[in-house]
Amino acid sequence: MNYFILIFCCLFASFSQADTVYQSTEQFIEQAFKSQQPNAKVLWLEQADKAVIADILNHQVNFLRIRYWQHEGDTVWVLNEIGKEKPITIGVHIKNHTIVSLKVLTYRESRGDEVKHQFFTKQFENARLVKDNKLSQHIDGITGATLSVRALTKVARLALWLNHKIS
Amino acid sequence: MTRIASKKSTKPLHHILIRHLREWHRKLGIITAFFLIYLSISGIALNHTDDFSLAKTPITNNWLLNHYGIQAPEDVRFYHQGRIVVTNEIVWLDDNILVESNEPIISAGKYQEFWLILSQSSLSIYTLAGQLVETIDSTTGLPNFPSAMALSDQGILLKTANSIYQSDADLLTWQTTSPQQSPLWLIPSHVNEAQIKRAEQAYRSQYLSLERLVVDSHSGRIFGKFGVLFMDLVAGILVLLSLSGIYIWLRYARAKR
Repeated sequence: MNYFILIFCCLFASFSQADTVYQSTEQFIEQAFKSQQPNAKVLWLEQADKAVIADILNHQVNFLRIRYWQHEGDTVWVLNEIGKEKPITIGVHIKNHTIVSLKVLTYRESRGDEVKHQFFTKQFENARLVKDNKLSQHIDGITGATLSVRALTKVARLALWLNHKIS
Repeated sequence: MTRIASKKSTKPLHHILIRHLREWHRKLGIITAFFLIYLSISGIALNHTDDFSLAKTPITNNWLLNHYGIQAPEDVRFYHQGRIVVTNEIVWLDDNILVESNEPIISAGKYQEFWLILSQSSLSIYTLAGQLVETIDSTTGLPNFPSAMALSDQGILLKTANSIYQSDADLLTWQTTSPQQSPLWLIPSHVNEAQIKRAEQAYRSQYLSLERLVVDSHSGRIFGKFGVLFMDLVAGILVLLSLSGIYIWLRYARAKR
């Protein structure tokens, strides 16, 4: 009986992790821009842009526009990237081509959500884009969350590249 | 005396055996020749499914679709004079699949130079050629659980259980609104019975490709368990034919020497 309860709890815990919203897009934007909340803008992608994005993400993208929020040197990007099976919604705040903060807004995978913690996302702070669209600093992985770590790293690189694109 | 008798009885028995074997070999050979030809041709086809585009060739024959138990869609709707068709969770644009959603489609329509497909939790924007522009969901501001959509010059209107939301012209932001007049919520177009039948058949046929049909007929699975056992039997006969053919040839070669 005890085993049954334990298994049930484990299953319930794994299901309850799906589609977890840690912060809404509005809250992330508000946090980034404080009182000066700008309206959303869109960046239309051309074929050459899509090729670069495909190179960063390691897969083709099928959308034509990306929305972002900008005020002076600050931009915010809310991007989705699949970790293992489901998209992770990630918010990236950039100031002067440097990441100010990166946050997991919605996590939909059943495991690997350790990437939501600040001890991990803090590693992206002050990261810039260097040669070959790589990050200027090394990001330590998390055992058991390799694909989620990879997704966040790719999104960080993409957001920085998009930020360069609109500058 | 006994030895002579046994020698006399062995020779005719052997001759009888060979004669019967030849006769059965011939009969079974004729019967299985058809299957051998079919298995060879279908085998070649399966080896070159990409070259022959078998997986992309839908089966439209109603008998086969019924045989496979593929049901007609429960929900068939047409929008924008029938250019957009919704069959359950699949949206078609000019007879091509535009999107396969994992949730019910609420509404569809043309806004400026784009197609809009509204599902229970997302609004997908497509170019007129059918290329995805953006998918908007609650993380990018789409109101939750929309139940209807109306189009206007200034943007689109979405109806939810408690409010009506108006977007800006670029569909980037949403605000609650109280329109003076009741909005013209998009409703499905009226079409004739033939169009509905065509949409139903298109929906059903995308679940059965020529590749699946060839695979199943190659293995006999098209006729269920009996078909598989029958093809096993045919394969067994082909093995026996090969063995009997070798045996007959060996006997013939020895007799010739």
